[in-house]
Amino acid sequence: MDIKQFLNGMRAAHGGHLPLSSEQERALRHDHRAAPLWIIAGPGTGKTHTLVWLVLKRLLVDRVAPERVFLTTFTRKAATELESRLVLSRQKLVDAKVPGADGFEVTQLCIGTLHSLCSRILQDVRYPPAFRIRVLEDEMAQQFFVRRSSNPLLRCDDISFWSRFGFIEADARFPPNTAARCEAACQLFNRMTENSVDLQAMLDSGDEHLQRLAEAYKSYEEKLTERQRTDQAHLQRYFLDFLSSAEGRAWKAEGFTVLVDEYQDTNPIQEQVYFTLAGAQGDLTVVGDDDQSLYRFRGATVESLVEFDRACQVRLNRKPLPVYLSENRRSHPGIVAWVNRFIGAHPDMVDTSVRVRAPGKPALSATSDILGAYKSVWAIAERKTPDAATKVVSMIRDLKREGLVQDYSQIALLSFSTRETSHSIGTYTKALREAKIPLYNPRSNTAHKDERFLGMLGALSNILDPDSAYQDSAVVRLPNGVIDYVDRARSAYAALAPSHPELARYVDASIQAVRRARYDGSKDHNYLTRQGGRRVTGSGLLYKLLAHEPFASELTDPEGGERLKVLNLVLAEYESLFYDGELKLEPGEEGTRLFGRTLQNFYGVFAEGVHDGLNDPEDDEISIIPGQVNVMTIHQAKGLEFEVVFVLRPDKQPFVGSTHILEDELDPYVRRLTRPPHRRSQELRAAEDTVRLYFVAYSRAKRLLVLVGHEQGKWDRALGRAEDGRALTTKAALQAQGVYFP
Amino acid sequence: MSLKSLLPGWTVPLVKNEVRIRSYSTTADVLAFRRCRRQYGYFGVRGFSSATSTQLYFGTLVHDVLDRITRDRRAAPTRALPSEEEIQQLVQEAHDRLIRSGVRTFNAPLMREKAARLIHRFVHLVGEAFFPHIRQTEYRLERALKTPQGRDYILQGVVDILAGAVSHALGLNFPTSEVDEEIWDYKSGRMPAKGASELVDYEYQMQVYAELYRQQTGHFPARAVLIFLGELDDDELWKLALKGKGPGVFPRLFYPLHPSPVRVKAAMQDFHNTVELIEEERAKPYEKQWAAPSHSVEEQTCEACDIRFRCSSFPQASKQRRDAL
Repeated sequence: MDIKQFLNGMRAAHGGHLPLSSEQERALRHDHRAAPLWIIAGPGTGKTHTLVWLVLKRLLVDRVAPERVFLTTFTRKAATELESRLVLSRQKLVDAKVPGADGFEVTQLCIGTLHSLCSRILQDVRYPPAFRIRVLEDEMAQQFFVRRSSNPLLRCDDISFWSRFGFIEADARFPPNTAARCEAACQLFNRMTENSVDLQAMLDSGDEHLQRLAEAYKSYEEKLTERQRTDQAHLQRYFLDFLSSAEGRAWKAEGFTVLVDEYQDTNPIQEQVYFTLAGAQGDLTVVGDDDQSLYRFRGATVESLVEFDRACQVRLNRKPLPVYLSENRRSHPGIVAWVNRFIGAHPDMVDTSVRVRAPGKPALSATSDILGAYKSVWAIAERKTPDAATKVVSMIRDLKREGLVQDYSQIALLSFSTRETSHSIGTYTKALREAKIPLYNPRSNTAHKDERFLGMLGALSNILDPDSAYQDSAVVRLPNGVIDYVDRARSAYAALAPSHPELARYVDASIQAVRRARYDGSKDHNYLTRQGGRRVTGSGLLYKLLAHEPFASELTDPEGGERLKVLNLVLAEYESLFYDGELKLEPGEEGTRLFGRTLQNFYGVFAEGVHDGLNDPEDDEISIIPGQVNVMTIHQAKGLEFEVVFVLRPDKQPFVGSTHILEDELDPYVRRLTRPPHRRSQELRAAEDTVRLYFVAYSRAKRLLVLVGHEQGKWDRALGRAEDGRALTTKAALQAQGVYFP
Repeated sequence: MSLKSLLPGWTVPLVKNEVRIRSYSTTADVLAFRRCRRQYGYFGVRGFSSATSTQLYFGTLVHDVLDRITRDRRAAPTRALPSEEEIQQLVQEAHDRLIRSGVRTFNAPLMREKAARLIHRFVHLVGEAFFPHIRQTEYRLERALKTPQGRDYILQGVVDILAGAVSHALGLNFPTSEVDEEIWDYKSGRMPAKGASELVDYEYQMQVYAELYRQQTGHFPARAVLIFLGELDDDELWKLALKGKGPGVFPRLFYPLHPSPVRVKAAMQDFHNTVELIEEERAKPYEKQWAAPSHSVEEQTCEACDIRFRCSSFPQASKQRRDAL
């Protein structure tokens, strides 16, 4: 089949109409033997649609074997959507009797996030260093591991070390606490892995801080190997090592047909994986939008996309074909004009010495069928936040009441952080709740403060520690914040117990069972056991408690059930590192009690990790809950679109953090074939990041975009400049841009 | 002034559903749901983490060691089969990996001992004839399917072994040929009684694998064979086997299933129905989802279940809930 026949097949599958813009058609017509493909796709320009049909074209026209297609995207949700759309689109071709469409199955392709594909392939080939290895799936698991393995950085009291990498202020009087050190250590180690830093060069640098860091990293890696664990970044390292091995080279053969979605959020090690997989034939297609690069804080380098032509030149000795998708089919023309002006004229995004944006990128053109003759960008600027919140609530209520939207889930409130504090967006969520407007805010970081959650933790603490050893620094040493948190948990349990006698009886009986547990001094270790000899674990106790009211009923409540699940998951993660949760005993004054070290770990690692803040779990498959207004971070909203978007707190200012500092500190030791000629200052990079976040937030809106906040004088960065370079900080200047103030 | 009046030409947007075709594993989803809806819902869908995974532990341990022996043997076909001590060592290594990968267990030393015993017996009973015919281990089957109600889904399965004419080489007691292609699946327990729901599920599973295999390769395998390794735990029969009587002394060790269009159709229909039931359950309001099943649940399934203490399918729930710890 040639491309003409394929496009005819597409037409036949779409009732005689070819569902491609000229730019999308150009991407499909590209000859991949000649050059890699570099698709720069603005928001709402049909990126996934293009990718789906491009894959089908590669299979049917270019006769690529389906099992040689390696298609990755950034999240599991996006991967499921991509696979689903491929299945449905292929079926359309089959139904239209397009020859060859029934000759392959979408399931034969390698589709997923890079992590999931690395993990699956390494398991399939039984790559020894990674076989049945346990992946530290999230930040908390990694932090538990750093604690469990007693990483040397946890003992580093050198203030200058921590301030150098941006984790405390230069004039700080104290080093970070243990929890903050764990978090910092994980960030440092992840960046080092993702950048394939030259450890020996760091050790030889003569720089005390870098030597300390390199030693700590070595220790971390050794412990990972010793305990058969890996983190997300090392999983990619393993995959790269596998590809370089004799077995991996045989597996890779001539190379794969590699297609990468969201390439702007790729980190250096991922870039290396993709080029290695594509091999010398360089069959590589990258798709992304530099203006939507949001993950620098996780090691992403927007340069991967912006400098893709230079990377291809260095690695493959040829230039890619750039294709710009610029037909925005999502938003009202007024919103498209707003985002074009915002990003195109923003002073933070213009630099003659560095590519801040992809070269030659055109502005978006509005091709949506949303064409109402109304002003589609509004601003609610009040002196006081509660007044702004009242207006937002009133508007949301009217949108629904007047039938302008069918469901609350068509509306989103986006912000940098969705913590429900008065410093963040708490005033808005409180006003929505008071107005009885349902909302969904899984990243409010408040699961750990839920009364039932606390009650469960309090019940566990009572059983394990009836003598309140957590308050006795001779037994358990804890920061005051953790002691207060455990106090709150025990109070929450104490409040529940009188009205739930069966629960209270169970807890009391279990306390007595611990005290009466047999202690045999001749054994090295004594463990708490149930009748029959089975060892008791914290998780086992949690399940017993869940069987009692009020927790049993709470399990059937969507919010409460999910929050108790968070506790279960965090506890399981902790226990996997700490003796599988088995509980050691020692003799005490009033009978047997839990071993001091076991209690220290339970409080000092598990409870301390929890008290720092927990988000609610998010469904891997569903982004939007029907009937509820979406309250989301801008990061969370990436890839989504909403009929009405409220962008809260446009006064947010950029700040230089450890992310930017680390980029510079590690730069001399980064092993990467393609590096940008030079970097902008940390301040400018922080400003770029903030501008991109606003760009993503604005471009989620289909019909109406509303900027909401107080202190309009500080909105400058969120507003950008007029085409003629003038600032837009006054109401009049914004009105001149077509902004409506309700 | 109404909001509408400020938005001339506004068209009311429809609520769009996200495009999503779910993947279902034959064992971890379909069969798990049939075993117990409640247990599947909490652990398979909602994602609770189990405090114990004893069943998973033993089965995976046995699979991992047999997989390793198979791979070693394929890499060096002339190498001798592993001795009892070597198998114990392999079991220990597999155990260490499993524990570190997060699988929890109870009575691990006893289970390791049993796993090593069963594997040793299996390898020495049939190994010389068995291993040379193996073409691939952990053979992945995955197809996009549609239920009769029109729901798209992806069904996944992993066959333990794709082999040539193993049954023929072993001289098993049914018609075989030397050009047969077979799929084999290890089960670590004993063969359930004929008609038991567990065995019916296994039968369905293998018929479905045969169909997925046909869709993937264009033809059915000659047969699917279940190996019930737990049958080898009979010391008296093992003594007989050692006297040279061969695998025939374990009449329930191998269970062959011959794919036929009628059986395959019935099994596929059953899987489609189960997928529809799962989807139906997911669509219910949260508080009504994943209720205890109305059918009886195997005692062993309940005993290994963390949420049995308040479950109408588990008769001892109330007593065990009140017991300390």
